[in-house]
Amino acid sequence: MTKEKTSSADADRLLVKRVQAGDQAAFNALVLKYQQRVLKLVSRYVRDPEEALDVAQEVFIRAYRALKGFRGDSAFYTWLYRIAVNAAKNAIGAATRNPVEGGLDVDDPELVEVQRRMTDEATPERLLYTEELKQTINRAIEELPPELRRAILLREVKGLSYEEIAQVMGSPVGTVRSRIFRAREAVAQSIKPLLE
Amino acid sequence: MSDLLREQLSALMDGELPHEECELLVKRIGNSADLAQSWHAYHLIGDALRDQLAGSDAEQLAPRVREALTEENAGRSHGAGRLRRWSTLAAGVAVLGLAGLAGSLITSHMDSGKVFAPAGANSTGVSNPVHVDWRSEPQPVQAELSRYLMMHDPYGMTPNASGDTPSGAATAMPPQSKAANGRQSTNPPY
Repeated sequence: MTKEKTSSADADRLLVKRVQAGDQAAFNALVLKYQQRVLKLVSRYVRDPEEALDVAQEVFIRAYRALKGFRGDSAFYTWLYRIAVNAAKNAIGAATRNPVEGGLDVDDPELVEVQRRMTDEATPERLLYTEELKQTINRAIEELPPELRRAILLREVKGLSYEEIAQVMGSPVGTVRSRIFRAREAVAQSIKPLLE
Repeated sequence: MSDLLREQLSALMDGELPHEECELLVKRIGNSADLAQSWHAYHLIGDALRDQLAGSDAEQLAPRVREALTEENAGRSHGAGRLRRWSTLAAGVAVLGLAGLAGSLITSHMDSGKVFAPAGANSTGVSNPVHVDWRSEPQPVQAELSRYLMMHDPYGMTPNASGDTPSGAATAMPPQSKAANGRQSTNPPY
C-alpha cells in the first residue's frame, strides 16, 4: 500500500493551523522558510535596503495578524505574496506605483520573477554576503558524492518529485529521500559558520 | 536531534512525507531550536540553488518579526491588564454608589415603616422597586446588604465596629445618610 504523502503546501497548511491555534513558534518556521523570497520580492519595489527590510517585516506582521482569518483557499505563499506586493506598493506610494520601467504587471508573479535579476539594488555588503553564501553552497555541492549531488539538484533546481528522481536515477524512492537528506546535511554543515 | 528527524524534515519540505508523520514533526519544528535551525538551513540552500537569495538582511527578518510580535503580544496583555484594573475600580465605585443609594432609600422610608428593596432581591426579576414592610419582613436586609458589599469589595474593606456595613460604604454616603446610619445602628429596623 502506498502511503499518502503531503505536499509542500500541506506542510504550510499544517504550520498555519498551528499558528491559528496560538503557536507563535510555528509562525517563526514560516518566516524562516519565506524570508529570503519575501525580502527579494519587496526589494524590487522598495530600493532602499533598510526600508525594504522594514516593509518585509511589516509583511510578516500583517500576515500574522490576518492569519486567523486565513481559510486556506489559496496556498499560503500565494496569500503572503499578495500581502507583500500590497505592502511594497503602499510603501513606495502612488507616485512610484509602477516600480519597473516598461509597465510590469505587478500582480503577475511570473512577470515579476522575470524582471527580478534586472532590478536588484543590492548594497555591496548584501552582495558580498550573498556571493559568499552562494560560493560556499556551490563548493559544498561540488564536493558531494555524484549521486547525492545529482539527487539534490534534480530536486531543488529541476523541481522533480522523489518518484521522478527515482526513475531518472534508477534507484528506490527511499534511497532518493536519503540521498537528498544527506546532501542537505553536508551543505548545511558548510554554511553553519555563516549563519552564526 | 536524530538523523531520522532531520531526514523527515527534509522530506517534509519537499512534500514527500507521509501524512501521519507530518503533524508531529510540524509541532516539533516549533518546539526544537535544532530542528528549526535545520529547517532554516535547508530552505536557505534551496533558495541559493534557485537563485532566490535576497542577502544578509533577510536573515534579520525572523528575529525582528519574533521580537515585534512578542512586544505586540506583551503590549496587548498589558493593555488588557490595565482595562481589568479600570473595570475593577469602576465596579467598586458602582457598588459604593449603590450602597449609598440603598442606605438613603432605607433610612428615608423608615418613618413610614417601609423600605425599598432592590429589584434584584425580587425573584421575579421585575425591575421596578418593590415596597417591603420591614416590620413584617423577617429577613435582615441590612445584614444582607453588608454581606453583598463585603463579597463584591475589590479593596478588601473590613466591616465597621457594628459589623453591619463596611466602613468604606459609610464614608461614601452623603452626610445625611451617615447621620441616618448612626440612627440606624442605635435603632436597627429588625
